[in-house]
Amino acid sequence: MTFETSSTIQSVSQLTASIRHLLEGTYRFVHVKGEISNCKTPFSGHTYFVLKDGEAQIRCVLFKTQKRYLDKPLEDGQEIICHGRLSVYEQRGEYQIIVDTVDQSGAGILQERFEKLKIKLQSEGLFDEQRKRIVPRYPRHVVVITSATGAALQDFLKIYSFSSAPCKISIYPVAVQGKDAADEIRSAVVKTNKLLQADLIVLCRGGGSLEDLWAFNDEKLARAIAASHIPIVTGIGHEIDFTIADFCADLRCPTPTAAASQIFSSYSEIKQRLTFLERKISREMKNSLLLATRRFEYASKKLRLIDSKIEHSLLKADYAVSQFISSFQSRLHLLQQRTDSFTYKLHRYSPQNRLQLAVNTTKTLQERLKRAMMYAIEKKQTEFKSKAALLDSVSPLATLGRGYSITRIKAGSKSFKPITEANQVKPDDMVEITLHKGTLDCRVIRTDG
Amino acid sequence: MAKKTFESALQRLEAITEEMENGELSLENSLKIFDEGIKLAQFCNAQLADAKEKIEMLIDKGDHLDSESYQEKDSEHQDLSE
Repeated sequence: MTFETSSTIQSVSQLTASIRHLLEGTYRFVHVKGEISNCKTPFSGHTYFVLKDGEAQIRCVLFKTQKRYLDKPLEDGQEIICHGRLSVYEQRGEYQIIVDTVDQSGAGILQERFEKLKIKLQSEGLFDEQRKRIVPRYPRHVVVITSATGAALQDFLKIYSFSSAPCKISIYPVAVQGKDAADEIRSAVVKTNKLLQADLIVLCRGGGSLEDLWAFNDEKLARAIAASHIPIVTGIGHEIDFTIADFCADLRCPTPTAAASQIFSSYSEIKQRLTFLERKISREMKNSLLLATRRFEYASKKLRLIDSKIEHSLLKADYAVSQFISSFQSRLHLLQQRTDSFTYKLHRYSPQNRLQLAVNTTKTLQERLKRAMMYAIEKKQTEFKSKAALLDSVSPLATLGRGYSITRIKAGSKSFKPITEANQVKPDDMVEITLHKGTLDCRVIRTDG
Repeated sequence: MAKKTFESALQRLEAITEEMENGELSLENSLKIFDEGIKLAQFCNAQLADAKEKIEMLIDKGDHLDSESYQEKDSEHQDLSE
């Protein structure tokens, strides 16, 4: 460096003073819009913060005396416009804005983006409780997606070691800050789902500003969390920090430590619980057996009682039956005897004999009657024959046969009187004339004699 | 039966305990589920006994993941800002 001369070489102080002169001369008064970050108010009461946008940042200080003009205290994430002057702090070689007044009307850009995304995803149902998966009470393999060097991981592992949970931990190292962080975290969630047989994913990170945690407010990451098959627990930042990832997760814990406590808490009580359950069922079993034994003993005692009763009854029944049979038999015998004697008597006094006697007598009488009748009939027939021969010799019937007739007049209703003289009748009297064969009814016309 | 996990075994054990407490089971069924309960308790205890600390660090190889055992760093090397 041959052109260097003593006149061109400056001391640090000289150059810094020169820069200060230039800056403070050129930027006498500035109006800058940006977002507050790293806001701190130490003991002095002055407020130091960084004003930033997506690309750059600038240090600012608001002195205590200027604070009375503020609408509200300065906070991280506030979008403000600072009015002030630029100043170089020579001792540290830094420049900063000495803020006179602050315009706090604008909301922080990041905060606004956060709210917009939150509303959008909420309306899509990504935060719905009923969509969320159940976090296993006894996880066997947990994948922790976080920075390998962060305090968050150490906090988490401390609780894990203390719990002595029978659970495997896989650390998935990712950047949790910076422009690649959101993509790395999302890729880790997707790959864990695809390549590992884990039953729980933990997303965690220590505390920080809204910008520090910004990776967890990424929309694509939010969707990957919602789409995960493996349940996801978050422990991001401090108690007060809420990220979009927290809303999408199946369980949000305020810090990495809290996440670990929550995940392994069930294990810490489980040994006592198991011992308790084992004792409980053993006791119940013992009681059941005891109860059953008692019931058995009681029942068999009762049975014995019934047995003796039955025996007694049987004996009684036997006796009763034999009594009955013998009394029945003797009674039967008596009846038999009585029947026999009656039968004998009955035989003796039976009408059969007398009946037979009567029948015989009747038969004899019948014979005698028959014989007497025959005799009488024969006698009458002989008599009749002799009388008929006599009758025949004197009968008018033979005379009638020769042409003679008998004239009779009716002398009453049934009797006729033979007419032997003409004066026995008058003209117009009715007479009956009996011929050899038949009769004639005649009227008298005239009498002569 | 589906794959027996610690959680499902514990749930079943809880259910068995409750059932036995109710005391409405026949002696035969009591014995049956008591036997099952004791086996479940043994299973759970065996799983718990297996509780060695197992921590691994995953290495993203693009299409697959490798793993190596995790060596805890000394606390003074921790980056406390994260």
